[in-house]
Amino acid sequence: LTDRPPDSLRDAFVGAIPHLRAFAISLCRDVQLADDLVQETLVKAWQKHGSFAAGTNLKAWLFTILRNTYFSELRKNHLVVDSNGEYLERLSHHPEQLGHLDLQDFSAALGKLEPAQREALILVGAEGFSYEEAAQICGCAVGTIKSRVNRGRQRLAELLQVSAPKEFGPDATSESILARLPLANRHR
Amino acid sequence: MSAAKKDVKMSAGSGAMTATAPPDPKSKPEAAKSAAAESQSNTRLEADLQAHLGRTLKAVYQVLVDEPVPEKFLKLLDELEREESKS
Repeated sequence: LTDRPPDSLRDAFVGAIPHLRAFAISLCRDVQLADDLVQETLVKAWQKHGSFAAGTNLKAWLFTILRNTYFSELRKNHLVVDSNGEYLERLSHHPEQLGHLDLQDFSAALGKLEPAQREALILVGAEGFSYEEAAQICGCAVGTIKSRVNRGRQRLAELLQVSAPKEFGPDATSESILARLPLANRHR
Repeated sequence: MSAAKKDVKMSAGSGAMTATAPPDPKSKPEAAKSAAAESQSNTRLEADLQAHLGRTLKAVYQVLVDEPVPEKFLKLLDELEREESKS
């Protein structure tokens, strides 16, 4: 495709950009700020790529830099976080398999999660990192990531008004519970 | 041959379904329904639910990943690469 070797640093960075952006948008929930974060991450990572150990996970390394950049900006109060999911309006397209409003619902629920839980869910549940990689990216223990993922999942179910199945009584079937999920067809 | 395999699987599945048919939701729950069976079905419901939430999370996130990469990032990387080759 290009005259560069396929494993050039530039190509590896280009391949990671969509994921960096998605993670950044999930963190700060603002496309503009997310792009600033990605840009800063790319520059920082390029400058210190000598310190990147070959054979380790480049994507995890880039995520770590982006996350550190985000939290340092946050500490300096440079960022204002929009947690209502309006950022979705500014995206260029929406998936066909999910109605726009369903997306909004789910995204708003995600936005209400504790940031640490949301982050763990995104890294493990959406981005597909292992618990170990996620722990490395977040600079915490593997057990901490596991418990954040579990608590995040439970909270998400609560926010989407799906109580623990036992509350539905002995007659509840999985169909009736799934029908109550606000994700499928509710707005249509 | 894969069709035959599928047939075997399906008939085995439907046999299992009749054996553990769920109670008709309109009829009164049987008093004798064991707590163990109930908790087993709750565990399954919870697993179904979490699988559903997991799929939705992936789909929502995929929307973000599928966004086109702004040209400015590619230009930035070109620039970084050029600077590096100069030094």
